[in-house]
Amino acid sequence: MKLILGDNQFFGVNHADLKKAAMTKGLFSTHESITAFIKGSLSKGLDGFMINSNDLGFKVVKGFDFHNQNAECHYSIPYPHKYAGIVNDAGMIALISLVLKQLSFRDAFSVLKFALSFNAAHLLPIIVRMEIPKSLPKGSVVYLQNVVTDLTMGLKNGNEILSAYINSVKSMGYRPGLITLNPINLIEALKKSHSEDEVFLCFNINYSGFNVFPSVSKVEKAIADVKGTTNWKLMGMSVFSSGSRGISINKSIEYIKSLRLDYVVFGSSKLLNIEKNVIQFNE
Amino acid sequence: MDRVIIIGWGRMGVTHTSIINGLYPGLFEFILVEPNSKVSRITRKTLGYKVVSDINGINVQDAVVLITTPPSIHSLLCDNVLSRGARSVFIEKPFGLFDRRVDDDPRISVGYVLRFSEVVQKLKAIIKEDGCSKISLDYSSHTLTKPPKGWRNTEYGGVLNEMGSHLIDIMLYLTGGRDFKVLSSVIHNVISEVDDIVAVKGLLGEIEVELSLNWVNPDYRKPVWSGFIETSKQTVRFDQQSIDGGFEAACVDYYVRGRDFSLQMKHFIENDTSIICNSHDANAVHDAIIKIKEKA
Repeated sequence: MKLILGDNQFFGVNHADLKKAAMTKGLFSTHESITAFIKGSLSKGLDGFMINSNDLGFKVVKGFDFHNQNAECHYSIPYPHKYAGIVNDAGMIALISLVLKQLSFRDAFSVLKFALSFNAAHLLPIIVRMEIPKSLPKGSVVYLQNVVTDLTMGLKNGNEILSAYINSVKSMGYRPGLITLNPINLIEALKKSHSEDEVFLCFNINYSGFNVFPSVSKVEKAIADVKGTTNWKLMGMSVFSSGSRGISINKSIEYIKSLRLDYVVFGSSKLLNIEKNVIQFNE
Repeated sequence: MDRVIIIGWGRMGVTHTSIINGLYPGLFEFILVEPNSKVSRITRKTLGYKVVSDINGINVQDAVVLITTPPSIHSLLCDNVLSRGARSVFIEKPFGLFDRRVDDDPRISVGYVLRFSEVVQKLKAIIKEDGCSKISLDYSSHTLTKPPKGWRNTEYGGVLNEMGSHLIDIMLYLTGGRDFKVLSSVIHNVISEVDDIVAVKGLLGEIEVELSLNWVNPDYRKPVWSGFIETSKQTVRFDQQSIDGGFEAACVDYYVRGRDFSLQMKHFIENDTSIICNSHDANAVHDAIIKIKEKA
C-alpha cells in the first residue's frame, strides 16, 4: 500500500473542523512553503503527493524538482470554484468561450469535431491540457475532482463523458484517475468499458463511516470485487474520518491496512504526525 | 415513467438533475427547458436530454417541476406550471422577490437547503428542548472578486438575497416564524453595485438576533457559515460542519455537493414534508430582507 500526502491542509479544507482548516491554511500561503512541506513529507517515507490544479498547486507542480525527488505526483483537476464562478457570473456559454480562447493549433481537430457535432465531450482534451502544467511528469495520475465526477456521473450520458475523460488523459501520457464520493455508482459505470484500463479510483473509506456513501460495508465489498475483476488502482481518502472527534488514529490505520487498497492519501500540517503515520502504516 | 422538468439549465439545474438521477437511477424522464439556443443544442448533443426553449411547448400535467431560473421570472413560471397541472414545484432561492412574489401554494418547495443540514436539525431540537434567548449567525466568503453580471448585480442579487436569505431562513425556521423586528442595519457595497457586507441586529419575538454577512472577505477560500445560540442552559457554537457535542452525519445514497442537497431532493421527490421550506416560509424570508433594507 503506497502512502500519498494529501493537499487539504494546504488549501484550508477540513471536512470536520473549519477552525482547524483556517489555521493550517495560514501555514501554507506560498507555493514555496507548500513545496518545502512536500519535500519534508517525502523524506519521512511518503511515496508521493496529491495536489490540486488551483493557482498555488499549479505553481508547485510547475516548479517541482521531479528529477531529484523520487515522488509520484497525483494531480487533481479542475479547481472547481474557478469554473463554478464563471458559470455563476456569466452562464454556461462563458465556460465554452473560456475553453475556446485557450486554443492552439493542435486543438484544431477537437474543435472541428465539436463544431460539427456540438458534443462538448470533444473539448475535453483541451480542458484537461489547460489544467496540467507541462512539467508534470508523464505517467503521473491526473484525477477528476469528486464534485465534477459525481455531478457528471449523475447526468444522462455522463458515463460517456467520464469515459472520454479517461481516454483524453491516457492519450496525453498520464494515468487517469477519478475522485468520487459515490464509489459504487462509479464502479458500475466504468466496469462496462474500462475494466482492463489502469484507472485510479479515489474515494472515502474509514471505519467510522464518516462521509462513506452509501455505507462502509458496501464500499468494503466493492473494494474486494474490484481487486478481483479489474486492473484498477484503489486509493482510500478521508481515512482518518477527516479528523472527526473521537476518532482513533491507531484504529483507523489498522482498519485501512485490512483492506485491499493500493494507495492511501492523508494530510497533516505537521511532519511529526506524518512520520508517526508512516511508521504505523509500515508496521 | 414519471417526468421531471427542469426549467433553467444553469449550475443549480444541472446539480439537481444529477442528484435526482443519482438517487433514483432510471426512474425519471428528464425534460429541460432552456431558452439559450447554444446551451440547449450543446446539452442535447452532449448529454442526450430532450431540451425545449419554452415551457408552453411541453405538457406539464402531473410532472415534477424544478425552477432554477433567475428570480425575476419565478412567479411567472410557477403560475404557468401550477395552472397547467404540475404535481409539485421546487423553486431555487432567492425566491421571487419584491414585486414579483410567488403566491403561496402547498405544492411549492423552496431551495433553502440549510434546513436539511444535520447542524440545523440539531439546533432545532436543542431550541425545542431548552428555548432560546439569542441567535447569532455569520456568513463569510471570498465569492466576489469582480462585479457580478446580469441579475446578480441587481436588486435580485447581493449578499443579502443570495446568502443572507439562507441564514434568515435558518433564524425563522429555528424560532418558528416569529415576528421579525430590525433594530439596526448596515449595508455596504464594495465590489458589486448592490450589497456585499451586511450587519443586522434585531428581535424575533423576544429572541435577540445578529446577522453578519460578507462575501468579499479575502481571508476565506471557501464559503463558511457559523454562529452560536444561547439557551436557558448553555451557549452552543456551530458552523456548517460541526456543532458543540457533535452530530450524527446522515448517510445519503448519492452525494454531489453535500448531504443537505441530497436530502433536500429526496424530501422533495418523495413528498416528505418532515423538513420543507414552503412558499409561505420563503416569502417570510423576503419580508425580513425588505425590513433589513428599509432600516439601512
